Order: sequence, then C-alpha cells, then structure tokens
Amino acid sequence: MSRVLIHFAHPAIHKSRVNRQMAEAARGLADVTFHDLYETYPDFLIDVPREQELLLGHDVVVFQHPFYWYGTPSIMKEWIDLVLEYGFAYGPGGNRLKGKRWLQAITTGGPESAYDEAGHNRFTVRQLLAPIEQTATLCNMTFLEPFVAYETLRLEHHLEIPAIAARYRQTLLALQGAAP
Amino acid sequence: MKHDVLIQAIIYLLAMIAVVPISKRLGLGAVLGYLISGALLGPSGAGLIDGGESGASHLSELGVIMMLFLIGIEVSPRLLWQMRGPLFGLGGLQVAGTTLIFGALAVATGSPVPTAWAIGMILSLSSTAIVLQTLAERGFSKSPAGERSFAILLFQDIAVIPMLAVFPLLAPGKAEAAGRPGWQQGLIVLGAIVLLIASGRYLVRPLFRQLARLNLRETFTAAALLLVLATTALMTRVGLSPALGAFLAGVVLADSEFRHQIEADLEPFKGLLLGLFFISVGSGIDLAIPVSRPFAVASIVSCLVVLKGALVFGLGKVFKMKTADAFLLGASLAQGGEFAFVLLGIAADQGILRGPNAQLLTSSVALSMAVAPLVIAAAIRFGLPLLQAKGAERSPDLVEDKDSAALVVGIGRFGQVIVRLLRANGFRTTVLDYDGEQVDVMSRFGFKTYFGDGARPEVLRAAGIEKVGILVLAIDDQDNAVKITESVRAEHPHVKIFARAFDRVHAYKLLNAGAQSAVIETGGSAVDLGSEVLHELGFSALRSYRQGAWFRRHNNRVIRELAPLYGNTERAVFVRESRQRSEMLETLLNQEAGRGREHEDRGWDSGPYA
Repeated sequence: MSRVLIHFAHPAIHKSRVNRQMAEAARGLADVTFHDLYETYPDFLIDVPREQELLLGHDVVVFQHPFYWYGTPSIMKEWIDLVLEYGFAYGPGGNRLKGKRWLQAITTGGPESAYDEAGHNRFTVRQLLAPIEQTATLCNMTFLEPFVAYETLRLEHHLEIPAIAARYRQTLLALQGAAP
Repeated sequence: MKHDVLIQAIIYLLAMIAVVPISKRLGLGAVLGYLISGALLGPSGAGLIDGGESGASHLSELGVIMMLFLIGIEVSPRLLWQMRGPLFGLGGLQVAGTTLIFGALAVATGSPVPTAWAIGMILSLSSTAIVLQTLAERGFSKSPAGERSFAILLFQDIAVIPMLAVFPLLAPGKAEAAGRPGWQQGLIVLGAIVLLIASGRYLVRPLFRQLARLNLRETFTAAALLLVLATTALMTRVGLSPALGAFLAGVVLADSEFRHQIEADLEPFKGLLLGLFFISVGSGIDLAIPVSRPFAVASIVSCLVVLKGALVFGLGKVFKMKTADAFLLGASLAQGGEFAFVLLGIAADQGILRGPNAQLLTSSVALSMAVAPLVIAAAIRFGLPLLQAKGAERSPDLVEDKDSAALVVGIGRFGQVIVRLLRANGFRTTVLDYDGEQVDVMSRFGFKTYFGDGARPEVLRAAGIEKVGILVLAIDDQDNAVKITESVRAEHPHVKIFARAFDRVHAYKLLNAGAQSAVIETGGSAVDLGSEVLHELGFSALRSYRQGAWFRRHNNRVIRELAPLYGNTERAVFVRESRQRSEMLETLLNQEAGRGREHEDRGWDSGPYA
C-alpha cells in the first residue's frame, strides 16, 4: 500500500467544474491526504517545514490543478520554489524524496488534438510539462505519465465530468494499491 | 371575593410563577397554563380572583394592546412585500375559507347570519404563541411548514384589525353608534390616521432620536409606553378600537432605527400583561360548561381541529407544498387562537353572541388550544414518516427578511470596515449600535442601522441573532464584549462569534469565553506601519511585507497558545491586569531574543544549480 498525497491548487474553486468534481472524488478516498494549497495558504506564506514533513510521510505525490498558460497556478510554483530546498530535495544530502513517485493531474481547456506538434498549441502536454518533469527527476523522483482531462470547457456537466472524476479516482486507487 | 388590589396582584403573580414551569414541563406551554390557572382560580373554580370586569382585567387589556403594538412594529412594508405570496395568498385564503366553512356550519345549526359571520371569523384565527413555540421546540421553525405557518399567522394578526372594525357592524341595532352619520365618522377616522402618520414622521421619530442621544434608558422606555397609550387613547376617541390604534402606532415606528430598542423595552411589559390577560380570560371561563355539555364541547372542538386542519392542508397542496409539509402545516394551525377570546368578549358585549354561546365557544377554543401541542407533536411523530417520500428534497424556501449574513454589534471605526467589506462582497448585515449619534451618521450614509444595547439579550434576540450564524463584536467596551460572548455562547450556541480585542489580555478573555476568533485591533495596523518602517530602512517591498506578515502570524500563534494561562477570571483576581500585560511582554521578548528573528525563505537562496 502506498500513501498518496494530493496537492490541490485552484485559485477560484467556486468557478471550477471539472476540478471540483475531481477533488470531491479524491476527498472521498480513505487514506489519501487531500491538501488544498490555496485554502491553506491564501497569503502564500508557505510553511516549509510542514510541507516537507508531509512529503516525507507519503510515497506518491500528486499535483492536481488546471493547466494555466501551459503551467501551474502560481502557488504551485511558489511551493516548488520554497519547499524543494537544497539539501532536502536535491544537492548533497538532498535525497529525502528519492524513489517517491510524482503525478501531475491536470485539466486543459483545449482538446487533445491541439496538444500536438501539428496542433494549435504546438507541443504535447508531456513536452510542456518538461520543467516539472525535470524538477521531479532532479529530486530523484519517478515522474509518472500525467493524468490529463482535456476539453473541460466543452464538457457536458452531467455525463462526461463524472466520468472524468471516476477515471481520476481509479488512477488514485491504482497508485494507492501499488507497492511504495 | 377578594377586592383588595394588593392581594389580587399577589395571587396573579403567584399564579404566573407557579404555573408556567409546570405547564412547560408538561409540554403545554405558558398560555395554556395561564388559562387553566385563571379557570381554577376564578369564580367557577376556587373563587380567589374576580372574573370579568375587575380592575385587573382593564390592566390586562393593556397586554393585548402591547401585543398589537409589537406586531405593528414588526410589520415593515418591505417585509410584507417580500412575503406577499404566502401572506396574502395562503393566509388570505385560509382566513376566508375557514370563516366561510364555520360560518356555514353556524347557520346550519341555527345561528342568525351576522352571528355566523362572527363565529366564522373568530374560529379562523389560530394561536400564534402556541404554534410558533411548539414548532420551535421540535426544531421545525425553518421547515416549509414552519415558515408558511408564520406567514399565515402574521396575516391572521393583520386580519384581526378589519375584523375588529367589522364587529360593531354585525351587532344588532348598532350598539356602538357614535351618533354621527357614517361618512362623517369615516372622515374623522381617516383624519386621525393621517394625524398619526404625520406626527409619527415629524414628531415622534425626531423626539426618539433626541432621547436616544441623551442615552437615558428609562426616559426612552417611558416614551415608548407613552406612545402606545397616547395613540390608543386617540383611536378610542374617534371610535376605533384600542387594538387598532396600538397596531397603527407600531406600524408608524416599524422602519425606524429604534425598533429593536423599543421592542426590547416593551417586551417584559407585554409578557407580564399578556400573562395577566390570559389569566383573567381563564377566570372568565365557566368550568361548568365542558362538564355539563360535554358532547357539545367535544363536537365543536373536533370540528374545529379536523375541518380547519383539512382546509389548511388542502390549501397547502394548492400552493404546491409537498404532502408531508402540507400535512404538518394543517396540523399546526388546527386550533383556535388567543384572539378568539378577545373577539368573543367583544361579541358578547355587543350582543352579537348570546352569553352562553360565547362561553361554549370560549371553552371549546381553550380546549382546542390545549390539545394543539399534542396534535402537532403527533403529526410530527406519526404523520411525517408516513407521508415523506424517501430522499425527498425540501420544497423551495420562502424569501424572507432573513438575508442577513451576520449581526454586527458596534459600528464605530472598527465595525464600519467590516460591514463595508461584507457589503462589498454581497452580504447584508444587521447592525446594532448604542450610540445615538453614530446611528444617525450611519443612517445618513445609507447603512441599515438599529439603535440598541447589544449587551441586553432581548435586544440581540429582537435583532435576529437566532436567524444568523455569525456575530461580529466590534464594540469599545471590553467587559461588555466578554459578557456578550459568554451569554451568546450559552443561549445561542450555534452562533459563531468574531470579536475585536483591545489587546492580548482582552483577546485571551474573549477566546476563553468562547469566541471563535479574537483579533487585536492594533495587531494588523501596527504591523503594517512597522513593515513600512522596514521598507524605509532598506528592505525591499516584498521582504518588508513578508517579514511583517510572518511576524504577525507568529504573534497570533503565541496568543492562542498562551490563552489558557492568561485571562481566566481566577487569575485575574489575584494578578492585576497591568502586571499581566508586562509579564506577557517579557515572555515574548525572551522567546524572541535567542533565535534569529527574521523569517527565512531559504528556497530563494542561490544554490549551485540555480
């Protein structure tokens, strides 16, 4: 059994549809730690020791957020900048996160076809996540194939969004079930 | 028969004190207790108090007058407009329908038509006190049935006014004719009403504002009483009933900023006098009647309960309520009301009803009120589970004047900011302040403010503390703030309290008294200024800001941690507050002396991989 930690970052949850249902699905799972970054740190004053302790206590680290301008909402960048300290996450003696798994779980406005060399956004999601993938790699973590929900703007509320939430839930359960 | 006023007063008061706890224990409510004790003590019982026309009964009529005044003062035109659907629709149809049904029954059993009208109207009224109290006790005040009961009962209270006006017209030979032609009479009445409204706006409100400025409580109370009695006297002079006068006086003051204070001042009087009223009504009940004509009484009571309940249930369904809700609504209103006694008395006096029949109906109404709590309880216990569909959703809520998100006590410098912040985000607040001048200023700038002393529980209640979940305490007076926190936690535990604290010691007291949050009024602003100084000393803006923010966060944490040690009352007895404050400062400085005080963001250090 792996211990799963979800960092949720959505600055305007009251306007969210897909992320909100995904979050509900995640919150409903037993033994999964759901950590809402904007809710905990509305002033961006991230408690670094506490965050590091959380990381140490889990095997799988998930980052769930909408894909803003091909990246993360700002608090996630703040989190990465402050929490992954030299000597903790990387550098000499910085192997505390070694072997843990990293999953990016994102929602995009555009369809999958747009995220392609020939498409509107010119790069695939995996390519656009390169900085994050490299961050994880530098910390000796395993960067998993990201969970992506495309085309959220177009989705039918009653039919397709629950399906995405269910798929997300399955993904989390699978992560939980695997050995650390 | 005892005529000594002192002895009578003692007996009345003893009855009130002795009876209410017992009847509440038995689940009967205070009103019934008064009626029963009146009946037991009155001429047909132990004969300890005079029935009917004694000095006590005149005094007790004041209770009814007060009640109507307080009803009037609750009825603001805006509230009426919002509730117009259930109020006039459901309420109107209920009163009209019940009047017709029982009127028809009365005619069928041999009454003359005017009498039948009177009987129909009398029986259409339900008991505001019993219904609302019973529903509240069982937790159903906010249910669809509870809210619509309130609307219907409110309409009934209003409907009493035209009923009182109509009764003299039903009397044989127009017993109360004032000797003037009808149109002249009508003009005089209209003139009196206009005079009342005009003096209300240009005389009464400014007068009250002046009194409020003087901050003299007793004078304020006296003025409120004077208002009620004077308008009542005016109305009786022109031939209207005193009750109508009191109601109109209340309406004149309904939208004023003094509403809550007046309500709070008069509430104790009203309570006492109403109790007196019910006792004296009870003493007028002839106990021989239910005993001697059990069949008649029983059939009237069951007709009343069943037919009225069924009619209301039917109306509920017509107004698209769910079956279970309509059922509870019907069961809740299936009885006679307090006003029936008033109207029956008037009807008997004016010859509309013969004495024995009035007595019969009085006993029947009283009995129906006695069983009402039981009927409602049975409906909730047995009826609802049967009728509720599985997983049924609530029917849509009524729109009421309940859109206050918070009650803010104190609208000085501190409270103003909070109210403005809430308002900017679309939240309405009810605001209370006890400084007449502040109230004035705020009113001029468009805030809905009430004048009242938040330290008095009845003022808070009048301002609707039971309907909001949040109390913001932004007053100056430290001791009052703590007292209010304690009493609200005790009496309204569902209310979360956000309090302004003068300093650390005060914050401790508030937290220990149960406030959800106590923010020191200087904490934030001092840090802001301090951050500006850091900036001036060369820190970048971000650094100045963050250092300030982290410092404040640390400070708050320390305060919460030290709360259990400080600010508790026993310690305060032995250690002077000023000593506490200096002790605390020492502790803080010591804690901060050793380690590096600056908050570090090491992640932003340049490292080998940057």
